[in-house]
Amino acid sequence: MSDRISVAQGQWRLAYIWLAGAAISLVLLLTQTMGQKFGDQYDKAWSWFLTTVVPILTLMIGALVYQARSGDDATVDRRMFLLSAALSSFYLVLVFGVLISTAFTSAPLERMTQAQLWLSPTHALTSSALGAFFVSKKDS
Amino acid sequence: MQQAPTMDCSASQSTIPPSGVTVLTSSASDTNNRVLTLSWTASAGTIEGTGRDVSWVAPQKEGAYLIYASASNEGGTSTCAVTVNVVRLVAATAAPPDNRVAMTQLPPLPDWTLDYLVPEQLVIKSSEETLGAIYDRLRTALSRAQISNDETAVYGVGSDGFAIVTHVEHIDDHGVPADPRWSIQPAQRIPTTLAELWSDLIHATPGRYRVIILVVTSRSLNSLKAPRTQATAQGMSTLLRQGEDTLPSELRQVQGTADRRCVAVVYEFQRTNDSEPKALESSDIGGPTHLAAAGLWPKGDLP
Repeated sequence: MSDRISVAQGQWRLAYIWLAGAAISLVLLLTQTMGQKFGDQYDKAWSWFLTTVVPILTLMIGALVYQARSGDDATVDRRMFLLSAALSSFYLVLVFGVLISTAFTSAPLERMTQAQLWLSPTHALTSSALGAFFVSKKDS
Repeated sequence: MQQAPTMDCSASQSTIPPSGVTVLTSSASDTNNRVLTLSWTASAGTIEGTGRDVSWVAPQKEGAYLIYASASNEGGTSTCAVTVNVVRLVAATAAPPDNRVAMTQLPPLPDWTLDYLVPEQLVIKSSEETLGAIYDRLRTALSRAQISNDETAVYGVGSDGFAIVTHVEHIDDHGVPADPRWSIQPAQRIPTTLAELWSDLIHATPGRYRVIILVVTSRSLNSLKAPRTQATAQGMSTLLRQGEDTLPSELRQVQGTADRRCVAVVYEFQRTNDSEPKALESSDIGGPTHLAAAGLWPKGDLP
């Protein structure tokens, strides 16, 4: 098995992971907003969600567009791809888990703020891995 | 040579609650005794009106606020300032008008959800009764409702009345005390079924609260109010902390008057998220239901 995979292929797989993960959390948050889970402070919940998910999602989409426009046939280290995919999945599960955990507290916004304590380091690690994934490519 | 106007500013009340109103007055004159146009500016809050007398509506935030008035003529511009302190409900110890009894007086109350005239036979049996007898009768009702002295505070209302303020009480949608009764933080259940989990996931943990103030007075209810102020659960907790434990013996001896009555003032609050519960402007629970559900008097005795 090759130790390198196509950049385009890797990026699309990561994009699927992120789009699916973000979509699931988004639907849940949307449902919670409509159910008045956060009362009139729903903007705080959305602000939390947007700062949690959107920056990396923007990076992914930007990279995809760049890849589509350049059309190069670069490859990337498979281990970097696996690391990025694993960290991304873990991070998205954490985000979804935080939303689920609001069912067990009377102070959901407080819970979401507290969750930043462990989400932020994971977010930083995931961003680093994705960054390394994108810069580790080389022309085949 | 023309000189700048001379000015003076004052406020009808230098300390008011959040959203309270004070009237500001300024006089400006110059050497020619002309009528000068005044302009008002405030560091916060809202100025209503124009001219010599205006109203200033305080902001929600506590603090000392400066309000400026200025007037100009050919000689220059003059400015004067007045400071108004905005503070939440804080009981002030004040001597009653006739100095008979010194006791912590009930501060002006924010707008409330409802008030209910408690039937005379339950509290005031005769117009000659002393305040002590009425107080004891109310204490008996409070004990029946399992509201101890720790959950109440007593204030004087003028020199011939008093008020008993109860702790912020957690209630259900029917006014019945809910668990935990005296906590403002709602108890979070552990969902045991998928339906409960889904409900808790999507909906906020509800929290409904009330404060009952039993006022024995011959004064009008409007005289107890601080106009245009909204109650907060925090303010009510402060009210509870700053009152007296019991009715002073001097006040217990005060004889009744014919127009004395007992009014139950009820504040209701509702929490829809994890912020502080907000005051309700109306309630679907009536006064008699509140008092009966709290356990103060049987429902049948409250028409």
